[in-house]
Amino acid sequence: MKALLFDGRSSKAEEVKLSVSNEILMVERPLSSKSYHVDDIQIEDAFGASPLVLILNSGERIEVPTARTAVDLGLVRNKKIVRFLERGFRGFLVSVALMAFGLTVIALVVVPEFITVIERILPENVFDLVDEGTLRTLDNALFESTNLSEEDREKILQSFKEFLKKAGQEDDVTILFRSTERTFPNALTLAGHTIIVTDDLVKLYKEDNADMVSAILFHELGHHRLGHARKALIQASLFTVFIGLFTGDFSNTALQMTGAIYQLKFSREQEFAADKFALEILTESGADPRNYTTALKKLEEKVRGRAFSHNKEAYEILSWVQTHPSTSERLERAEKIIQGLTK
Amino acid sequence: MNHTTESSSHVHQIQFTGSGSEYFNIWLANVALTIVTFGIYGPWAKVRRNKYLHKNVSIEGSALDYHADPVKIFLGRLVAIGLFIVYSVLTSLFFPWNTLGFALLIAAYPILVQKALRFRYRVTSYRNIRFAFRGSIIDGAYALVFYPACIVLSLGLLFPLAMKFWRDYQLKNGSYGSTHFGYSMPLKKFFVAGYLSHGYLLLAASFVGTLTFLSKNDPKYIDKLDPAYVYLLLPLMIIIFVWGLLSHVFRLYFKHHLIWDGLTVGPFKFVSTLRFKPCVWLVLSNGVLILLTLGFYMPFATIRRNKLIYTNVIFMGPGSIDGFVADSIPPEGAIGDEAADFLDLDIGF
Repeated sequence: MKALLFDGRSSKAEEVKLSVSNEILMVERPLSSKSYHVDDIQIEDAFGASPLVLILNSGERIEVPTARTAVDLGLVRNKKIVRFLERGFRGFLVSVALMAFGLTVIALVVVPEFITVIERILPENVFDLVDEGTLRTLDNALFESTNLSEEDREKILQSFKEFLKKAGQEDDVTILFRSTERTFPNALTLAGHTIIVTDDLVKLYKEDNADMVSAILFHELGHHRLGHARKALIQASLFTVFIGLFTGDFSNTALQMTGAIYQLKFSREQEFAADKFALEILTESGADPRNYTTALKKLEEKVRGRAFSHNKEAYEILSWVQTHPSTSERLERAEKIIQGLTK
Repeated sequence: MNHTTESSSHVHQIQFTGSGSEYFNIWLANVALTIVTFGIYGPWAKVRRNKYLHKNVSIEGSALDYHADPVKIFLGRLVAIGLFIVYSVLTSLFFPWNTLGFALLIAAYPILVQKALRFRYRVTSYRNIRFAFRGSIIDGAYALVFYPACIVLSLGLLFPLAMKFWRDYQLKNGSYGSTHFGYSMPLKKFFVAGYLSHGYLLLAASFVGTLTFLSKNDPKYIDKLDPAYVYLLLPLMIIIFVWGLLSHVFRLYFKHHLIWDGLTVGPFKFVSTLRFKPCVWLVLSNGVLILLTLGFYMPFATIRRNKLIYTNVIFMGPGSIDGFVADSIPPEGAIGDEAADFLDLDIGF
């Protein structure tokens, strides 16, 4: 079999003849010949249209354009799983199956377990430091100082603390007030012990009472106690590290999409869990849990309007891509929980 | 294939023999094995991918080869991930680290790029002779940090100068065996290429800058504007958008000409024969198909792109290419390469 030999000292190509007998490769050059045992040769199968490559222990390289694998030369090589996957329809099917299996295991088992472990081992003050940084960024980009009077703020904090006390719950959060024109009435929980309430949210319930704001705050407290912001923070970091950088081979495709869809589901479940937490606390403190559903309806009217959440068809389609479940779905679930709690 | 154009000059056509369906299977196997091994197979996948893409580029019947060791890449990635985590934690926890961390990154940038270039040249071979990169970190610091920092003073208008410094550093310091690369390209070509490829960013920046200045931080400034002005702004925004899309074509076309038309290896030189029209078709069709297939067309797009890039380069010089001689340079670790990849520095060829 004809081949080209490159000695590694110059780029000159030398034509040689190869023959194989009893695991011994004979290389015949124009003026000399030499034999090599197969164990002393590194063999690289043809890759695409490239030739089969033999690397001799002397550093010389032989390219065999007419051979695809070692078997073509008369040498026996073990089959490798990688080569099987890279060739043919069966390899394709196995690759797809492996991919689907791997993604499922990662999404349903590995990521949640990993998040829980990291959340446990990280010291509490790390999240408070993260809060400081987040708050600084939000204050620079989104928020301004509150315009609420000292009296209004105190009233809300007092109401919240009283409910907590009655429910026998620990007061382990710091509630901060901020104003902004760049977002709808909102409250948000940071990864540490901070809950932020916007002035617009407080004003929304101005005609009602401080209990309404407390009801919304309990939902946020639910996010805090259940570690949702922490989990989201760790999950985002994990996906960035493992998907974007570790695999490096297929950014922006399958696994990232799974990650994104998983995140949506994760977030929707968290909303339901925080709703349940708020309803339980309100009930334990002796307050009417329907304060929460009323507050939610009022917020929905203000934020999105009623039309969309009652459009069942649009909801069916969009429910898969919403990070928050629709208010009607939350209210339905809340009603069932209230019935269970007040039995 | 080779033929003689003059009595002493041979033209060697570069060929790319990769196939989309073949590469798709390799890509898919890489993805599957990377997933089931939770990322550990990543470096091996990278080596398989690069081997396929290198081994299918041939000149005079001999192909390039890629020799990176996946184990070294794996260790490099671990170190790079460690550095990234430390950097992320420090910058998010301690405010001064934002500034200090940025300064450290700037200082590390030329080191990472120099090591990455050394690694990438070194792991590539042709006819059993390795390529090498001989640029120093100091030269890299001038090309990548000092000169670009000076260009900032021109409000970015002289940015094509930075492109030239980078190409000079990247290409003039290369060698094939013991034969040094040469690189020469008139500055005006960088200005034409730079402004057509990235000018829309300058236009967008001046547009946003002017609006910010006029609005004096009033977020409702646009709402208060006379509708007639808004209609005037609309064509400008469309121009920026269309130019932004076309910039991908300009980048492909000009990058090809800027690199290959100026590169020499000893008495041999490269010439780009790439025309503009195939670039438009390639960029548009690849973009649309990648979007429609949610990214699964990517391997086919890579092959089509490489085919266009390599089959439009000719290599010419006096006679055969048998006369290059090897050189010896100590092997380079993969950490620089991986850390540079990890921190998303664009140092590809």
